Amino acid sequence: MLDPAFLSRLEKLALRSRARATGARQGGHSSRRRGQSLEFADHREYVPGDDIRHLDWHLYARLDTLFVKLFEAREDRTVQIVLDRSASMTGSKWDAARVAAAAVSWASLCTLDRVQLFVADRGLKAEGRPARGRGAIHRIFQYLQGTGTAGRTDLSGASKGLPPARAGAITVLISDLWDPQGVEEAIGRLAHRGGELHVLHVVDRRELDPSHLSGDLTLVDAETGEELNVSVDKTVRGELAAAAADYFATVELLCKRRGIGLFRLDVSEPVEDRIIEWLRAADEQAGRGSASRVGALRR
Amino acid sequence: MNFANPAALWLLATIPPLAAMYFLKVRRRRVQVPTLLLWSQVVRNQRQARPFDRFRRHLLFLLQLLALLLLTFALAGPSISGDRYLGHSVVWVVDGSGSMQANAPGPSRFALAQQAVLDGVGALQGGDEGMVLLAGPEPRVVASFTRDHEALAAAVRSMQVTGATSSLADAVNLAVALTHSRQGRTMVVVTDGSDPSLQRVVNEHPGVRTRLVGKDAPNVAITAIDLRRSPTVDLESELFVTLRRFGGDSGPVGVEVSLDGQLLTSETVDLPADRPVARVYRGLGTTGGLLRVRLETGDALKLDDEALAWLAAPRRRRVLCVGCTALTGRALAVDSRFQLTAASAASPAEEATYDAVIYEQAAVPERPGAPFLALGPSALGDTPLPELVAWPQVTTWRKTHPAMRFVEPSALAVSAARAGATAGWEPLLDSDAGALLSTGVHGGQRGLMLHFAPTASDLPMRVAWPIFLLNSIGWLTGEEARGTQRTVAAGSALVREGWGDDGEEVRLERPDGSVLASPIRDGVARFGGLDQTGVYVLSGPGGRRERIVANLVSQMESDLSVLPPTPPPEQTVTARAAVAGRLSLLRPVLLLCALLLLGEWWLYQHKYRD
Repeated sequence: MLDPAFLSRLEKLALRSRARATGARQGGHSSRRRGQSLEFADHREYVPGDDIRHLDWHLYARLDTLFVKLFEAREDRTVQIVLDRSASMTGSKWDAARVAAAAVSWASLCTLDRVQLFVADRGLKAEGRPARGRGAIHRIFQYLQGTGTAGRTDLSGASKGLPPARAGAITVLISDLWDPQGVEEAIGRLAHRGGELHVLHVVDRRELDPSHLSGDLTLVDAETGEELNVSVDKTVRGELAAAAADYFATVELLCKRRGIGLFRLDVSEPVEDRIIEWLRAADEQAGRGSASRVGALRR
Repeated sequence: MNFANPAALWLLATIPPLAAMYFLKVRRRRVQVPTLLLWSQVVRNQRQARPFDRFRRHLLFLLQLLALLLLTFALAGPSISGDRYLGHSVVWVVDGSGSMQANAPGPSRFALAQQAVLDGVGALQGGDEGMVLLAGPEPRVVASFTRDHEALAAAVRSMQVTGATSSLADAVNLAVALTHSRQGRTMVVVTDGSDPSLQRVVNEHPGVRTRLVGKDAPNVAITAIDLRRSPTVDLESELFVTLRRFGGDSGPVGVEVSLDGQLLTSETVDLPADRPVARVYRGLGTTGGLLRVRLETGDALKLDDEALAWLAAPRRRRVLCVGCTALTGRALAVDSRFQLTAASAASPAEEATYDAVIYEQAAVPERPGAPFLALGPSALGDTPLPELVAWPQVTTWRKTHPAMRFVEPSALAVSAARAGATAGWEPLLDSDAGALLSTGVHGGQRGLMLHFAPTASDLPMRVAWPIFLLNSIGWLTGEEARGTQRTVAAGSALVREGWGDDGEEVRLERPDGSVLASPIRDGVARFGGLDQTGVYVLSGPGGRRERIVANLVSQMESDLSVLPPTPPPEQTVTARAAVAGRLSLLRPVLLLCALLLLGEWWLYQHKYRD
């Protein structure tokens, strides 16, 4: 499903969270807990029962007091991918979305995270149990390849079915955000359920500037079958582009206020490069601890 | 509003079906889009912000519909009528008669007329058209309708005044006929008012405008000239001249009479005002030549101060009469111009020494030696004539032929005649049984043939008998041309019979040296009005020549009073309607239609085309 070279590039990247991981198992992310990793965290006075292998003999020589060295624990975390599979995603947008989902899955599995894939239309359906380890990628690939677009978009309803996330969990929403009910409620619910939310907005430029459409048309909604008679000319196309810009600005403002990472994936551009670009930017933002990364993530 | 072709308005009936087809036509393309979220918003906003946009999408159709309406309107030939739309087509009829040669004073009346027309041409607008006719002895189109105003002006400058009388009525009638299809044309007659037919023109064509040129001027003129045989001196002629003073006070006028440039006599004549004075001049001699009468005046019109007359050299015509009866001999003896010789028979060689031969009670030879008059022959050479018919009744005759001048044959009684057609001969006197008198050519000589013997009729008992004989011999010998036929009034037509066979050509050399040619048709050569005064030379087949002089001799032309025509009685509504012009709306409507289509194309290219 993904090119080996692309997979190789993804191995070096990971979707990092600003919050430290609180996973149940040992993983690849630093944790607030002390553990067995090589990352030094602190000292404390020795108490009987402590592993004497962790005594800091250099400090004892200087201070004549026994201290033990504490190390950070390395824990895993959960990456939940919500993939919009509504009928509006049909076409190149669906191809790009699947590639993005596969790429995030592979990058996460490579960092020993647990990955759980959900597909959303009017409801939410989990791909299976959370996957862990590189070997699980084949299962995810197979699922993605076997899944097509259908149904209406109801991100708000779908988000209700998503299990709660622990601190440090990452949720990635991959969607074109064409939700007749609006995306504010859905994004708000996903943002408040814990963890960190990334929105990967899949965009097809031709939908926003339909220069191939002109004259008297009957437009048919791909999801609902609803029809609308419209005479398309330059003016109408200009107004459509303006409405799209307003809509996108609303989404950006929404994400910015909630500190949600928003990245726009234009299907007319090389998808793999854009995904790499996104992961790098997200990595930088996580390291910088920026409260809002919307501006930086936007091209 | 008038329509030249109102039937075209039926095309409007096609518009409702076209509109129905446009609006009912299913032409929306179905296109699937991911979502109508933004589209609905755009359409909703559009309807709220621009409620008239629903019409905007039909604007092109509405414009096309309007263009179709205008095109239909144009096809119907719309026009509006009214007096204010006169003058887009102007016809000038210029009087070219002899009186227009009069000095105005200063430039001649004709020059003033030309200038008046040139002024009118200069006042024409760019799209206006003009036409010029010259009213001479025969109306002539100088320039047909044209919008080339320079060419029109050049044609006006090239016009030449004639020395003859003219008929303005004929010229105006021709102009009306030629411009019948021109709506709203204006016709202007430029004249000095000398033509009495001008009043008829004004009465019959109320729309015709008159432009008078010249001023009243006194004039002394020769109003008549004629030659007659002298009743007292054998073979001599007398010259009759009528003089008249038009306007002004009575006074003396010097008169000179010359023959071929040699002064014969001169005198001073007291001419009363507006009364003709006749003068007779004798002692013209027997040499013949061109007689010229000249008045010593300083009046405005020189054309009528001189008159010409052609005096033929008097000579007795030798006539041979073969088998003549006493009746014929006595009839010819009354005219000293003819010297009659009687013979029982003659050879062609002997006949050739005579000017004419009369065959009476004698056969016409196969080849006569001179022009001949056959009285009751039984045959023309070897050609037999029709059988005798008893009591043929006269039906018609040719009054215009010289042989029939002053001959009245209506009650002629003929007991027996070889009436009937003769091949190649033209009947001059017809009866219910056929020709009784005919003319033609036999054996290379022209002849006249009476189809009955004079003694078989009551013709010798009539006054017409000697007249007919003298006419016939005079015509056969050319003597008749000595008289009025060789001195004519300018403007009259010239007709000559017996100058040759059909298809041959007779040429007329005019006083200015130009030459006209006329083919002989039905034995007659015709020339139109002689529009110049002076000497004309007629030449025909076989070297035959004849000199003719033309004089103005017209009281109408010599009277230089400028009399404006009396306006016609109050014009009726019909007459006013005839005067009113029409302004065609075809061009503006077509222009509007073109602009509309251009605008529609621009809108499509810049506002509607994607």
